[in-house]
Amino acid sequence: MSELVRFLREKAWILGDTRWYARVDSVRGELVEVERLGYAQLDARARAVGAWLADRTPPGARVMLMYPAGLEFLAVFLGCLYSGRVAVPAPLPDTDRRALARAAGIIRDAEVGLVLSDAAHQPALAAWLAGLDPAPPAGCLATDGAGLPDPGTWSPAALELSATAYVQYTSGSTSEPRGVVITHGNLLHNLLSIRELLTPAPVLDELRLDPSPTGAGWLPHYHDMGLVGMLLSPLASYGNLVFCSPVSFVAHPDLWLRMISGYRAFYTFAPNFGYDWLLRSLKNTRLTDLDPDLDLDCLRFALNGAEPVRAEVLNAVARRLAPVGFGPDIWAPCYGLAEATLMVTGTPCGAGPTVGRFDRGALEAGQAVPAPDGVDLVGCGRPVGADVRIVDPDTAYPLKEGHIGEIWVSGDSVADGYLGDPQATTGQFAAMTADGEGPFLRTGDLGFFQDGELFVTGRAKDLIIANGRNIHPQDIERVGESADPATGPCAAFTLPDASGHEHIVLVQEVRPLHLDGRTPAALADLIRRRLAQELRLAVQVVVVGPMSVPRTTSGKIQRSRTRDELRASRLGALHCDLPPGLVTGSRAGG
Amino acid sequence: MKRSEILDELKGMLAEFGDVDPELVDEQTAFVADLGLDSLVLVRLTVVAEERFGVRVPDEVAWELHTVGSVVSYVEEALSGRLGAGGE
Repeated sequence: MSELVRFLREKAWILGDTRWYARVDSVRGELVEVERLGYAQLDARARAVGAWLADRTPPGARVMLMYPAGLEFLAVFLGCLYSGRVAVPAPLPDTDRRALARAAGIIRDAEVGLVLSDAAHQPALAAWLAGLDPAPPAGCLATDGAGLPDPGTWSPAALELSATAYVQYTSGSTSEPRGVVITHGNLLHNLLSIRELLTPAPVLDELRLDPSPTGAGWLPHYHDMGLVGMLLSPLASYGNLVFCSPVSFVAHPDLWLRMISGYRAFYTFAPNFGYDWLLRSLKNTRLTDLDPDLDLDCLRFALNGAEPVRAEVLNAVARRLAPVGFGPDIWAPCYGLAEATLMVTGTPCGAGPTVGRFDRGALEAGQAVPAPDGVDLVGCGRPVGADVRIVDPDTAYPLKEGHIGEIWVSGDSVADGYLGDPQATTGQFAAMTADGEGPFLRTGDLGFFQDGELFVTGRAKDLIIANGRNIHPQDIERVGESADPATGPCAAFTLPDASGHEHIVLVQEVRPLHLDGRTPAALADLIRRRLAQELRLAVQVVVVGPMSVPRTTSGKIQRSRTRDELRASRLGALHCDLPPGLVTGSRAGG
Repeated sequence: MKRSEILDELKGMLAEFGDVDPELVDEQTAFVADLGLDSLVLVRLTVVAEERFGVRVPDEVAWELHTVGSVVSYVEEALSGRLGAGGE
């Protein structure tokens, strides 16, 4: 048994079924609990799965898990850990039809030998696998229908902490999906780091009479934050979890509030967009109309991570939910990435968020200079069990506080590398600073430290450098999106002309319904003027139809793909400021 | 449920969840190309439509329903099919 498996199993020995996991759903507007397992029940199920897997697969076999949201996924994931099989979580094609094409790529890339699902999805998945060309060796089996062996027949696998626990596929912002190899040691270390943040000593002291913080969430289990942060950290922190599927949350956003209130949740977690969606969906609804007993007084920790944390969203949510007991000091912004298992920096429970205001011009020049009329940036807390450096991405020299550079990370949570890609692994996981320290993980993200707290400012590879100014594409995109009711998502990047001069381009989606008779050219003109006024930037605007800007599976816009599509004339532009020669780049020559 | 009733119900949902003026919606209106709805709004509309109309919309069907009219037709067929199968 690895130390990780012992660590997880000891919680079941100590606490039995006094701590639990429960999944809820919305049925005719009411919250209904649809399944629940205590720790000991979950452990028994995981041992049964472990014994079953040991009969069917060789040690270390990669097993893809394609499950709907629910406790069967968690039991099977733990069963893989218990038996030393390598879980590869992947989404079902429920909201995204590209999920199957992506899963096929993962099966090939990870040499998956077996796909597991539940009885409801197994027939369709088995037919899909059989129809793939070339057909993979993997078959699909359901774990919930067939009788699993007695949990007592499971025998612990002898595993070192260096053994692979699972492979986390990431959508990344620009590249193809890549599998991050997470070891038993990585997961154990990150779970302990998260526990330290959630229950620091003063909070533990306060909780001693009821030492079971309940979490509430809705994140997908095939993403790092849903797997480690939502599903696994309660077990590590002696806590309970109430959760619903991501689709249930998107369809019934108020379910989130009902979970927190009804189960007296101590903490919750989501990326920025989740809080924003909750806010959008509440519109003018009176909170007491949703549920007269709605009370968020119990909530002490609202983690916000995995996406840039926006100050205006923190403020708006806190204001909107204040009448039902949401206090602004429960915000806990954090920073992390799958390459470091999950969490790298975070705000401890009780500390409250740090929002700083910084001079925009200085930020573009790579310096963080506080300014009362500057832009708001939200701090992502301090390193938790990790060594974090800010490094000049070109010279590899470490930078001092207040200087913007690439975020480099080392520590026991940093993964082994990318599966089957030694070149990318060396490039990204084995960086040395110019003064000889390392190895570090290069995150590709940019940020700075101020008073020991990390502020994330953007991604290095998307950075726009124009006339000596460093401009984050997000800043241009924010102006584009908010320029007019007719402007939707957009992507900003640079495009060089024949002489090597970089032009800044904004590919802007339009909402035709809000054009009110104006032409796309008129809209482009408006955006150009707005960008010139607010950022003093000359930007070439390309207007495209809705959903035309390429996105990742998780909905993030892809800047470099948008640039490639534009150059290949595949965007179907409704209006284009650029001369034809620039769009086709250097290969046309005229 | 009559076709016009299904259309009205759908217009109501578009107004409620997508802030779309019902006056601007007819059977030819496309959810993304014309209304520019984002994926969160589309998922919410699909689930709530299933609940309110009492029909199941499989994912592979939902992906092909691009216009208001195609949803109205699907719901109309599903409702009549179910009544027939139930022998009522």
